[in-house]
Order: sequence, then C-alpha cells, then structure tokens
Amino acid sequence: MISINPAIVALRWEWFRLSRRVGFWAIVGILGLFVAGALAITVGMRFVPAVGETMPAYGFPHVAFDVLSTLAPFLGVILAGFIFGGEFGWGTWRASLARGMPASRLILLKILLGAVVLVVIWIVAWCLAALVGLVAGENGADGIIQQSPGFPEGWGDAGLKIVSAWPVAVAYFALGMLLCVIGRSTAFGVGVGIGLVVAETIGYRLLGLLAGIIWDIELVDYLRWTLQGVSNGLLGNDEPKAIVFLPALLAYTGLFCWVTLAIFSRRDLES
Amino acid sequence: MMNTLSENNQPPAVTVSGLSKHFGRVRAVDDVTLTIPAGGVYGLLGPNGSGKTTLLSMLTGFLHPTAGTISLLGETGSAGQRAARRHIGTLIERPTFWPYLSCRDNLRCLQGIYASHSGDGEIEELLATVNLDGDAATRKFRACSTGMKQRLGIAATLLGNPSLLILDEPTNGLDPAGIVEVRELIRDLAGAASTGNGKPRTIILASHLLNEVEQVCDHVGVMARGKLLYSGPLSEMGTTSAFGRVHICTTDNERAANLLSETGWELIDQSEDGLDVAVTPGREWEISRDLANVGVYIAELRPLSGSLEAGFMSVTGESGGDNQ
Repeated sequence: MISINPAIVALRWEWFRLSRRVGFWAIVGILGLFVAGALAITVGMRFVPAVGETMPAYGFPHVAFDVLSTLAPFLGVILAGFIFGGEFGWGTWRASLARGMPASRLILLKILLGAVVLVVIWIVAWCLAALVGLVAGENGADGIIQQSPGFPEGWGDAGLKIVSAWPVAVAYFALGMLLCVIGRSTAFGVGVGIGLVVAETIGYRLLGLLAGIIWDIELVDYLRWTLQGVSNGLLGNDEPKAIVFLPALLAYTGLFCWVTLAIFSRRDLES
Repeated sequence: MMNTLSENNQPPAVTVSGLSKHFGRVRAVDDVTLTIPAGGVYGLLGPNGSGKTTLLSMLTGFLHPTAGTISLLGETGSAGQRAARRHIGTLIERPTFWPYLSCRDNLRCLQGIYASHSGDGEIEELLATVNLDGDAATRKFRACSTGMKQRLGIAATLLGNPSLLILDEPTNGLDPAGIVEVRELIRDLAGAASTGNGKPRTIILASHLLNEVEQVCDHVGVMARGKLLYSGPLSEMGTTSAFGRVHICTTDNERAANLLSETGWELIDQSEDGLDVAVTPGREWEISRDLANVGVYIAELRPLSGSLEAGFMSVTGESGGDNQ
C-alpha cells in the first residue's frame, strides 16, 4: 500500500508541519516538566535518607517511564488532535488528497508519524533519565535501574516499559483520530478522548470498590485487570502475562484506523 | 472507453459519460455526458446549486459517482484516474492551507506531498507568477488577505506543472481589483498554451459569472438542475442562441448583408438600422476585413448588450434555479 521512499518523504513533510506548531512543543515541554519533576523528587529522596528508606527505590528511568506511561493515553489523544484533527478544521486533507493520494494512505501516514513521534519522546525521556541517574552518582546498570515492584531489575526492564507504554499511546492516538473524524473537530476529538481516559480511571476505581461488595471477585478482578491493561499496557499489572495486551492494543489500533477510514471515506468523500 | 483525439492530437482532457451523483433524492448531477478537449479554457457555467461543484468534485476524486464513467487525460479506471490526478491541479470552492505556515512553506509542503522534484526554484517561480514573492511569501496564511489566499490557491494548483487545472469559482469573495487580478492570471495561464513538456494545458473554470467566462473561455458548458444543457465552443453557442452577436451599421447595409451571407457569416437580424451578426467574441475584426475587401465600410460596430445573459437564459430556460 505504501512504498518506503515516498513514505519517508511524506513523513518528512508531516513532521515539517508538526514541528512548526507551537502547541506541539508546549505539550512536549509540559511532558518534560512532569518527567523532570518526578526525577527531581526521586533525586531528592536519595539525599533524604529518612524518606528514601521508607519509599521504594525506583531507578531514574523507571520514574521517567512511570510518569510517561501514566500520561501516555492523554499524550496519544492530544497528539492525534495536533497531527490529524487540524486537517479537518482547515480542510487541508483536500489538498493532500487532491493529487490522487488515497485516503487510506493519508491515515496511514498520520498514524506512522504519531507512532514515530511517540517513540522518539519515549527514547529521549529514557536517555535523559539515564543521564540524570549517572549525574546523580548511581553506579552502572544495577545502580540506575533498581528494583521496583513486579519487574525484574536491569536495563531490559526499561526497554520493557518502552514496549509497554508506546503501543498504549499509539492506540489512544488512533482513538483520537477516530474521535476527531466523528466530530469533524479537533476540540471534540481531544475533549472526548481525554474524557474517556478519565472515565476509564474512574471505572477502574469503581470496580475496585465493587470487588469488596457485591460482585464476583474473579470477574471484577478480571475487568480491572483488562481496563488497567488497556489503559496502561504492561505497566499497570504485576503479572508478566499482561504481555497479552500488546496484540490487543495493536488490534485496537487497527480497528480504530479502519473505522476512521470507513467514516472518512463514506461521509467526507461521499457527501 | 475509446477516446477520440482533439485537434492537437491529444486525448480529450476530460470525458464523462452518463455521470450522475445522487444525495438521497436530490440529483445533484444527472446523467451528464461531456467531452472537454485538451488545450484551452473550458467554462462551466451555471447558477448556484446547478451541480458544477459536484461534477468537479467527482473529477477530482473527492466524490464517487452514483453512476457513469470518467476518463481523465485519457486514463480510465480507478488506478488510471489516480495516476492522471497527479497531473491535475485543483482549486475547489476555497483554498485550503495550513494557517500557521507561510505562503512559501505551504507550497513547499504541498510540493513534498505531491512528490514533485522541482525544488525551491519552482516555488519561487510560482510565487512570482501569482505576485506573492518578496515579503508576501513569508506571511502566514492566516494573515493573508482573501485575494492573496486565492492567488496562493492558484499557485498550488500549478505545482508540478499539471496538464489540467480545475478552478471552481476562483474569484469568489474577491473585491473588484482582486477579481481583475485573478482573471488576468487565468488568462495568462491560458495564454501559456503548453505546460512546457509539449502537452497542452487545459483549464476548467467553473463560474456563475457570465462575463468572467466570456472573457477567458473558448469552450463552455452550461449546467442547471444537475443537467448539462449545452457543451461546445462559445462561438457555436452564439449561433444557436442570442449569444455572441454584434450589431453593425455600414455604408451599404444591403450589400453587406448579401456579402456576409455568401462568405459564411450568420445573419441574425436585418433592419434599416443595420445588421445583427453572430460572431465569436474577439473575432469581430474579421467582419470589418471581409466588408472592407469589397469596398463596404463599417460606420458602427457594437456588441449587443446583454447578449451573453440572453444566450445563457435561452439555454437554461426556466430551469435556471437552484436545486439544492
């Protein structure tokens, strides 16, 4: 459907447009502030033994990625608004499709750009966290990546977190695209998308309450586990078998893209 | 589908057959069959809601036809049309650009999307062509005037030197000076009859402004209520309606009438005041030449005022209203 060289050229120009949006850099900056804040607190804990002794000794990359994974669904939806939603508001999708580009390729390019930008954000955050770890005087991989609950220690653990949080953000990116198409508006797509993320979190807490009251505990646990897995990939779960969420997230991403294309083609190209 | 060659040995720019587009019970385009020859400017005339934009949107691929076939630059089938659309510049309704980018960056972006390899030279040339070079090129699109936006839209259609330009109401929303400016630009583009690679350039100009079409087009199609009521050379439309007529008064009207009839001119009317003759706009001087050759001289020659409107109304008849 899409050959490599034209895809790279097209991605380059997609990035060209995204990189010139002030709002995009503002979001990256806010994200950086969250990560930096979490790192600063962790560093501070190292120098306050009384606090450090009572808290789990997370490694710096863990801290960075825990923050990023919590924000991943939000980031995915907001990024979809920037990369995809604007095209509807301005009608620029017409300019893109005017010279024979199929709508499927346009949507594929958008999801590719979103995926690339998200992985770059993750890698940069990881590098910065590792750097902070080194500067803070931690000693090698064992020192930087310290044990955290439910995860094996070491550099591979940080990689696992990338593998986990990235597809979550990509899936929410696809959801954001779908919502932008449904509402024909960036504001609608991002607003409803963020609302859904918040609703999932609330739903998770409610299920936790229900577990102790009326429902079948196993069923509630399963629902909580599923909701947590869909929202946070591997990170929200203590069990390594949560890896099953990777194909599920990929399936969600594909489904959202397909529905986006179907609505876009039937409604915007047909009416 | 078989495509006959135009006079310039090129396949027609556009051939549509039995083309229809229905939105529920509304027949926006109803069984249109049309051939637009390669080269020149084809005017698509019609009142608002007559189906012009819907027809053009099907040509550009933004709408799928309910029925009928389309051939673009000799290419048929979805793959062929997609390939042909790489050589078609389109401006439908209003120019759409990224508002936070400058005029130059918008064109660079589209150049990249269209995979044109002409580089910055093409961008600068196009900006100069539409008079957006200098400081205007660095102005953000959102800060541009309506005229600048429209001209940038036309520049974008020219990216990659396309063989076919589709311009839908390009002077919409412009002030009189802007209208003149854009109209002159279209005329210049039409004047550059070739794209530079030997292929003739065809411009389809949709408009409801009759004088606009009269000034720049050589072929014309008239639509109303989704139907194509007339398609052909402007001159032939003149002979079948009251469109394209001049009134002449000569030193010997009787002799002039005989002579013009013998030499193939169509006399619409003859009276003591003079003669009404059908003529392609811009070729009135040939009447003067033919008469002068036999010693009859023209004392007065004037286009019949309102003839274009009269011609349009005679073609559209009662069906010239909106249908949407």
